[in-house]
Amino acid sequence: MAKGALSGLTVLEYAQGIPGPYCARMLGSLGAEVIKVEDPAGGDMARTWGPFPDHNPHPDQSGLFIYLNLNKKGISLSFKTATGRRLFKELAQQVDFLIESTPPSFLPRRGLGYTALRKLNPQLIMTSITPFGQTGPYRDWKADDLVSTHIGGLGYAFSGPVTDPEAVPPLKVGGHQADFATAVTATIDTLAALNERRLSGQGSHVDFGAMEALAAVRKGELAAYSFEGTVTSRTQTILRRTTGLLKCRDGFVQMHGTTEREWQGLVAAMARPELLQDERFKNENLRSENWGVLKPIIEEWTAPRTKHEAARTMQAAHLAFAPINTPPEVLASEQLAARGFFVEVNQPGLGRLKLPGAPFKLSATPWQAPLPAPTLGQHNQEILCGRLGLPKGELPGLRAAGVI
Amino acid sequence: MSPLPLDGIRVADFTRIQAGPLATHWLVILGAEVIKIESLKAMDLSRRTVQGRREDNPDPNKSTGFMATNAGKKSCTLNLTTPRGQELARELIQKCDIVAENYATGVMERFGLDYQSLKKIKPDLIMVSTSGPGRTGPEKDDVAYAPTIHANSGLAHISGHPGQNPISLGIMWSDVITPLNAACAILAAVYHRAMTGQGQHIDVSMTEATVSLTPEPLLEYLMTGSFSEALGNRDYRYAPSNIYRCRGDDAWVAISVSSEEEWKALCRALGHPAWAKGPKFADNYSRRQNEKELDRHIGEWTKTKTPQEITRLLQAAGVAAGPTLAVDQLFRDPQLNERGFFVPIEYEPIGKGFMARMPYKLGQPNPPGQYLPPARLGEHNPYVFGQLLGLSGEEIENLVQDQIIY
Repeated sequence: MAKGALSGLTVLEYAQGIPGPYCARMLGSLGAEVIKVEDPAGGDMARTWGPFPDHNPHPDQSGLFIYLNLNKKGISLSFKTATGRRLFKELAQQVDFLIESTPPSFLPRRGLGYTALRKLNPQLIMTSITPFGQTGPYRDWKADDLVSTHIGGLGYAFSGPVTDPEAVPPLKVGGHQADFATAVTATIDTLAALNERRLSGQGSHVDFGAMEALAAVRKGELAAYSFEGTVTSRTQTILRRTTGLLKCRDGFVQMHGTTEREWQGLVAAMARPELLQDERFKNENLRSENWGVLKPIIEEWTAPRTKHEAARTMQAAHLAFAPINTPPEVLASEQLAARGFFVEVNQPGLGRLKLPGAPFKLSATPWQAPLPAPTLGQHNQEILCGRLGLPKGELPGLRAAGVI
Repeated sequence: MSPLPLDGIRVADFTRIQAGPLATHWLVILGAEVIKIESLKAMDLSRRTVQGRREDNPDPNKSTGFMATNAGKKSCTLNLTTPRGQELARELIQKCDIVAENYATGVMERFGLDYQSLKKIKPDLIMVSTSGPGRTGPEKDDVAYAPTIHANSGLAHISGHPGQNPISLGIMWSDVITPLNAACAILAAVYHRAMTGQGQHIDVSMTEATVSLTPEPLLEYLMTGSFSEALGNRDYRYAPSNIYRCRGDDAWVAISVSSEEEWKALCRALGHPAWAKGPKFADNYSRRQNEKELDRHIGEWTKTKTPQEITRLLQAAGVAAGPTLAVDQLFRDPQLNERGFFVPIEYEPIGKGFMARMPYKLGQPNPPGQYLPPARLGEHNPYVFGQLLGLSGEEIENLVQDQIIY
């Protein structure tokens, strides 16, 4: 396999959970060498999150932890000890990136803040990923995927338009989308800082707050509010397009869009030409407004079909229909298989595990094949002795003193 | 002042729909010169949405939605269905570093503007193609929008209120996360080209970008043989983690407890209520098992207070909490304002206001020139065709007459 775009660069990671580790993981899959530093007492908290094989918790077998930490080397260092902090400093001196997600005062208090590290390594790009950033009244607040989703302004919007807000709460989208979006946005910033360094010769500190990354998702609505004074409450949300889930024999199919061309195609595919004369559906805005009437009419066509039949028939007529896929159906997708999307990692203790692969295909510098996630402290000797030149004989002492 | 990361990079931007322009929005913010290639026939779709309504014959320069993702980009108009239009596009691309497009599969080939053709005239070109299914595979010609990607990627299956039918998400989420991934790919490719001189093609599939950020349900199925339905606001990792009704119109607060330390802090903040004692909620496993009852108790406590009161109280105690914020509340939020999240912008067709600053080095001063107004359709025709391509005023006039610059 060809080398990744970031081959030759090194990342030091001191982060846990999703945003920091996935950011470093992306850099690793783009070809950088990643050294993940964990606390010897338990390590990254994601090790305690599942899914686990047959629901049996094991710190080296969390599916989510593995996914977030592929292509990394793992060492354990206690920041409570002076030696641990010194070894971390020595590593920070040698690397191109430091990705960290500690609270804003944590590293400075230990003499490991950006100001201190820059003196040792002016080329260093340090990305600090926190819920709210390094400054401002919320800087010391905590947030996870749920809290970030809601305070970032996405909760009301995700639930879509509702008639009775008491019956339908605002919503978090499935999985941990806010945390993952935070991670990818922080990766943009980190790669931007790398390109900035290419021009300036200087490293820099990327002060990254999840709330801003998520609030930026609503920039269209923010601009509309600022310029036009438009606030859409959940009960008034204007559905700009005809979009919705339609009942099928075995589940649901999602359809989207009725431009003039699509509308004519839809009517033809359903063999319902009389709808073209219907005043309620004369143009795109009317079809939107009368979606409540239109949807059951389309469901007369979808209901006797399976979601896959409905989607394939409508796609043949160039209409945006797709089945609501369950996890096994996503894994069995012919399209994803044809593109070689899923990959396998041979994870010690677990065997071969199928995983989502590249989020994008770079033709010259491919997303690197997955290497197993590290166990806690797995690469202590390789990194501390190999990289920092510590004599092998010192490792047992460091272990006994709780440094590693 | 330090340089911007993409100073000196020029982008020919053929993208027209959501995920495409959002990726190139990042390139503008990071310092690139981005030139949109539009036409009266094929303008950026967001130009058609004015004041929340889709218009058939809109004023293409009055959309705030267009402004929000296209501020600072230049615009030229070119009829790409004509051979001369295609030739001019190729001339422009030779003067650019990056081409971005999100047409349906096959359209750029028809224009002779696909990567295989373009790399012959511009060997170190970086080209990014964003589509729903990706540019290869049996479904490469499928029509896709964010909602159909939510469906086929498995995201829709796990999104919605527990025990109810899946819902059609109110945010075009795949249009959000795909361009974030595309921007990463472009920045990596720009760096690689600077190091080696080598360009490349980037094939971004919205489905793949979405699945890559939604691994949990797939891992659950692969590791346990079963899969869960939508959890709503809850989280399989820990409890309590939910949103709770508060005092005020449609007012809600999110509270998440991810460790024993935080659970103790929550109990302290609640004044050690009797219900919280005992084995039912003694550890995370028990709290997950008895989550409905746990949420009922917390909801009793939250409903007499505002989300802001609860947030301050719990954050001071060391528990993650935050209100569900609406757009107007974001606009007034002290944290966002303190960090310089809103930048003033003046755009003559619609007036003065503020727009959200993309989160690159917030908390630092905003480098000048990043948040210029968006371009009117074809505003930069003189610059692109005159200055960059060296056509005379008369030649340009003839191209306008012939509906090539159109």
